[in-house]
Amino acid sequence: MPFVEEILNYKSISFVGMDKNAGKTEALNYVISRLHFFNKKIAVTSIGIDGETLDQVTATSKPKVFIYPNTLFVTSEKLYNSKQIVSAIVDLSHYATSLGRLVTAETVSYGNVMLSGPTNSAWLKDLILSFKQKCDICLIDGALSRKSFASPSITDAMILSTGAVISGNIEKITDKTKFMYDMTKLPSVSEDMLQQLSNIEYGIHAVIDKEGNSVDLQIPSLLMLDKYRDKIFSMGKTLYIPGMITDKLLELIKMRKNPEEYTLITKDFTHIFSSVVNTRWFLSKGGKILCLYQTKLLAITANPISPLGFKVDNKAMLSSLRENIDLPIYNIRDIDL
Amino acid sequence: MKCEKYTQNTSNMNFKQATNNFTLFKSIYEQLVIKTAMGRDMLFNTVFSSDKDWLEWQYALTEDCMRFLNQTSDNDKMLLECVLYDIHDVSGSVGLLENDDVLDDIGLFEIKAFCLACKKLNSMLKGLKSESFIFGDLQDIISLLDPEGLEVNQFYIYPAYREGLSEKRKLFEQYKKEEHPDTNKIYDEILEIENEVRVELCKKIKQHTFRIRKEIERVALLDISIAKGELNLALNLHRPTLNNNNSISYTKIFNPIIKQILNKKGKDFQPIDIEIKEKTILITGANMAGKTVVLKTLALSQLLAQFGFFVPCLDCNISLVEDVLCSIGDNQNENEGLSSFASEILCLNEIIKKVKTKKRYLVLVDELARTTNPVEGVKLLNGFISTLSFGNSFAVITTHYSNINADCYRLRVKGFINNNLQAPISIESLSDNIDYSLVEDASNEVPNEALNLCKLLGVDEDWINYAV
Repeated sequence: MPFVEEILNYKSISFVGMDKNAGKTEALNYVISRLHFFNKKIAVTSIGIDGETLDQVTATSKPKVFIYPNTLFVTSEKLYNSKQIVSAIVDLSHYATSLGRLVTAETVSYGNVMLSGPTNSAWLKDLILSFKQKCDICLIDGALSRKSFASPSITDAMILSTGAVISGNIEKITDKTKFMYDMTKLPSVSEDMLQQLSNIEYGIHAVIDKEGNSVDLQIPSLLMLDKYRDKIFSMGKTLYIPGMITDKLLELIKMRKNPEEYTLITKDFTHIFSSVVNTRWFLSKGGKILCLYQTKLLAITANPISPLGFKVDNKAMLSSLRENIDLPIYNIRDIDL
Repeated sequence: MKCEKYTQNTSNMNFKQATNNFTLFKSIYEQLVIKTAMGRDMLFNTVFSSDKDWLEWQYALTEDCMRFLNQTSDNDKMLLECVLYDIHDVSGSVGLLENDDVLDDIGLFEIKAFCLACKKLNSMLKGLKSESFIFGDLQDIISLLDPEGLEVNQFYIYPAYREGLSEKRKLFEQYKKEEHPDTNKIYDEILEIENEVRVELCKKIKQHTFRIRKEIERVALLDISIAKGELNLALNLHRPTLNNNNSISYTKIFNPIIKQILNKKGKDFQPIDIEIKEKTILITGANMAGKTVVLKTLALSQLLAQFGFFVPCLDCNISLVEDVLCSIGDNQNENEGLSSFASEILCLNEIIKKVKTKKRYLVLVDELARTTNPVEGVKLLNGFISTLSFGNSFAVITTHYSNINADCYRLRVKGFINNNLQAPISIESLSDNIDYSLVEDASNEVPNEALNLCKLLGVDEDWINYAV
């Protein structure tokens, strides 16, 4: 039973896919089936319906998750009434999503359920908090390629799903997955700095010493960088950006000399929005990106089948991934139950 | 405080309209923490009332809650808050029941959770004395929805509802595992039984919907009263005394919003005393002496009192009025081709029309006819005051005009305490040097302090020199 013991150390786990159909629901189902043997009380939810316009109307490709009795799950009013499982409602949300209010229910029998969850991260955070009392582990199924909820401020650890859905080329799969892995492994800041910076939520700040003292540069957002390009490095080359790191910023650094002198600090890896090419370039030239909070990536699941119908070589893909990434990597379907 | 909008809603203004029409009133509402959906609904539909009995009842409920809040520990208060925040408005589901509709599990859960919450509230609210806060016994409805007698926030079609349901469900699970051809058939059977149970339950609960509706109202009332109590404690509001003896009088009335702003800066609001009788009050005083604030505060207090709230003063004695009629601020409306002057005059005309109906209003006018020449302005003001005497209303008017001969009661803001202030002086410290209290003023002249004030504010010297 690979990597399930490790999961027991965490209160909330997010399941993130590199793309739709990367197999995260299968990963989720695997984890649920394993946890069942440990006699743990589980809660499962998902985040939002996030841009899946087709799904909101037809509710076709919403993930179906297999759960056991005595499990808490979250879904919406509309989906709850079409369930094929015996379950008791225990809570109703006050806010509504486009599929109605959220229903939290506890299963009496086992079977498949369709999940639906909060539409924003703050709500999800509240929901997870409310589950802390009621269950041992909370599992969150992601939607699309959304990763914001994997932020360590929301969930304790994450499981990443990748595979042929990214590309037919194994090198490309490895490359993209490795990048995601690298981002979760970005070094974190010192304790002092964390204390100083963790309370800052907005703006762009120049960090002026090692203790983490900072000066607000009075730039409202990196999206307005063009207007403030003279200001951005006026107080030194170490910046704390609680919002997001963008391509524009990295391109601005590209045009200057000595990229190795720059240090960018952000909250966590979900705040890095710059492209693979630019980020890699910056890091390879010696530039530094630090995170306040590190994300615990527990394992990677890889699916050799693409939803377009082609298949890559399972063994080659896994060995290529394993060569480059120092984590448990599995094809869920291969694991001997 | 837009006058046009306001004059359209005559006697039946409700709370929501009042928050839209009076910015100050809205600021108070924003500090009111209403916790339930039904509480908010009820509050918004509360009508500006001149029913003395209703108002006294509201004040008594609020006082009951305040006493309760003072006696209750913070922990218990938080628990109560949690229960209130958790309550769903079930009037939708109740409405469905009344229409002979069948509720789904979610609707039934809502009703059960609501009944359990009422039961919980009843045990938490032992400290409240008012009968309006004693929740009815909904145990029979709870029992209907809780055949296993667990009394927890949970609902599904329990196997206890029907013999054989449990077996059928087990069979279904087994079939599912075996991928038996009859899986769907048995599933349909289960659904049918569940539906029968729901229909039966809804029929039974339908007989009690009026009781549930009563409790919904009670929750709303409780929520509002507690919120009012908290507001009173936070803003230091007091219970008004209602009278029939034709006067409105306040001891130490203050503007709670401005007071909060000042308190944040480490200053305090200077409360004032004022009594409004049948004779119109004319307030004069230097610029920046707080005349407009007096009017706005009077409007606010009257609204609060007649919506069943406490008022911002130490003590007061209030006559109830039909409505509060204001002309405060600039209503210039180019879109309708109205200048500042025209829109003000039309608004005042509306007020006159209403006053002439002999009903009792509270009329508050800031600097009447200030946008025209002083000679005719004085005439308009004189005429307005004289016309008001045809009616039966209370009126307070501010002005900068001298030579008002109409029959009125004159008050003046005391103004600068210190006449030897050195210019320039900041606006903040300027207000420290003003005594805002109102004094009786026998003279017909208004204070001429505008030039002096300009100097203190440090405006261009040449400007002042040429003016002098």
